[in-house]
Amino acid sequence: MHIFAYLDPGSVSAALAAVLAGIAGIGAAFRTFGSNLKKKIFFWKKDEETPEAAVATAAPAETSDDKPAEQ
Amino acid sequence: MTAAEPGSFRDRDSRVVVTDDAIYRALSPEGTEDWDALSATPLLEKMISSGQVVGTREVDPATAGIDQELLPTGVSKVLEHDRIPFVSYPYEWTFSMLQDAAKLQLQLGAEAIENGLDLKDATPYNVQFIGSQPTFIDIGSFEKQTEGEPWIAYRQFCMLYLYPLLFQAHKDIPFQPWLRGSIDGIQPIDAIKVFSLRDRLRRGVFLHTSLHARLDRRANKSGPGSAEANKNTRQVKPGQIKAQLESMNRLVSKLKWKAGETSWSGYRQSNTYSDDDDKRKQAFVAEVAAEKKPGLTWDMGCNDGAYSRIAAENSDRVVAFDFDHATVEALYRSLREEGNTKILPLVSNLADPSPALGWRGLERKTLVDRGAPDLMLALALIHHVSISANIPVADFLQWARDMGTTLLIEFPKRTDPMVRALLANKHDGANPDYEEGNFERELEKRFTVERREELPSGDRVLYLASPR
Repeated sequence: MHIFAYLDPGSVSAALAAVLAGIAGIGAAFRTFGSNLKKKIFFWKKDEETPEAAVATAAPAETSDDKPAEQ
Repeated sequence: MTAAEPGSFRDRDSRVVVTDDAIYRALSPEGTEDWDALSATPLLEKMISSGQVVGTREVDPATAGIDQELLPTGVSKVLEHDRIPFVSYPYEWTFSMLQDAAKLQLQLGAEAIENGLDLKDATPYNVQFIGSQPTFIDIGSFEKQTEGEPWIAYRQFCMLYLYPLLFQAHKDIPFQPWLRGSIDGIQPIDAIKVFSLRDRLRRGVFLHTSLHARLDRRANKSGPGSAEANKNTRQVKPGQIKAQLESMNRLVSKLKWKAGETSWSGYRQSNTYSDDDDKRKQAFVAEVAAEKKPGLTWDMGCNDGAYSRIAAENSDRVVAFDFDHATVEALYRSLREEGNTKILPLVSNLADPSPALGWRGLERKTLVDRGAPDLMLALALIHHVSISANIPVADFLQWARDMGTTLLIEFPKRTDPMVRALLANKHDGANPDYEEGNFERELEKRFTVERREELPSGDRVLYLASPR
């Protein structure tokens, strides 16, 4: 990979960014897996969705219960 | 007249040109490819209509009168941007303003990746505030994704966004002097010196600061190395970068600064003014704003912004300055809650306003060079300027006169309890120029006094003065 950017990313920082991206990618995969698993285990919950839950589902934004690995 | 914006030179594919009537952005052939890719996505329209990105449209290069030689590879397209009412810089923002700008940067970065694009840099100078609304202004930052590249702006994000936020959130260290002191931000090896061993366990410190600094130090010791050795060979997928940006956004969003109580928090409520004085001042400001209908009003020493709000009813825009970070932070949060896009709150010390900075001293402009006000409110201010900061009364008035602004100024007499408190620790006869008669003489040398009103307490006088 060659980096052609007007902004010098710094060799060390670029390498660190690449490693952190890998970690974040794994974290995101785990989150998706966990969320799918939760949906499968609690499959009946979908039918019992309250109006408040419906609103929350429509706008998940930053209040997700997911606890990702923080960097 | 057409002139390239002196602060816009770093990107060879995109340069801003400012004329009297419009703000243009010239694009090179490569920059045009990136723009075409962006404008082909639904992202651009969504971002502009939500106010997250400055209003932008293509114009005929001939109409704009842009010189082909402005960019090394020529100009192939020209965009026109909406004008930002008042340009501000991160070293004038509060913690929450920098945090909101960082969140916008990361959100747009993640959305760009979803659309096959990315943001080539991550600097808060690409964000401006329209009142309390952060707006991304650097359309040239959007580029087509390059396969396998990591987040190239990671280091810049850390130096200009993350470390300043960590300083304020974890150590209660004001970040503004650091950003004002270095246009490129805080180096990892400097940032880590601020944190104790215990701090390294805190959110965001270990990976982004401690590890980053350690790797930097090691690289510095081993020298620059060969070009081949410096090449990053790790391939990164766009999804991984998106996850990284989202992870960073969660980290930034969770940072909190507990703005402590300062002597200026609630100053207006707890100071020595009587309710009658306050009511008369409010009425005076409202009457003046309604009569003058200023385009731009500056409220110097705005405190909780009460008079800024009154002036805003009849001003196109108000910039509310105060040097107390906690006070301006509280004002920003309340304006943000209201969705106020008229009042821009900034942290600025009148006795030491933002200077010109950067390459040739032209990259960042002085406060005055960014647009002098039509009306300046200087309420309960001159005694602090003159007695605490020792700026002569005549100098302050000349500064206002040089801007050509109409001045609404309050003069607390030497009998005023606050003035007496400020003079208490000075020798008898200190600040002799701070005296009602002298103030009026100096004011009248430079301004025509349109209106004078003594407040009910008898200790303070309001003046409305227009420049001679």
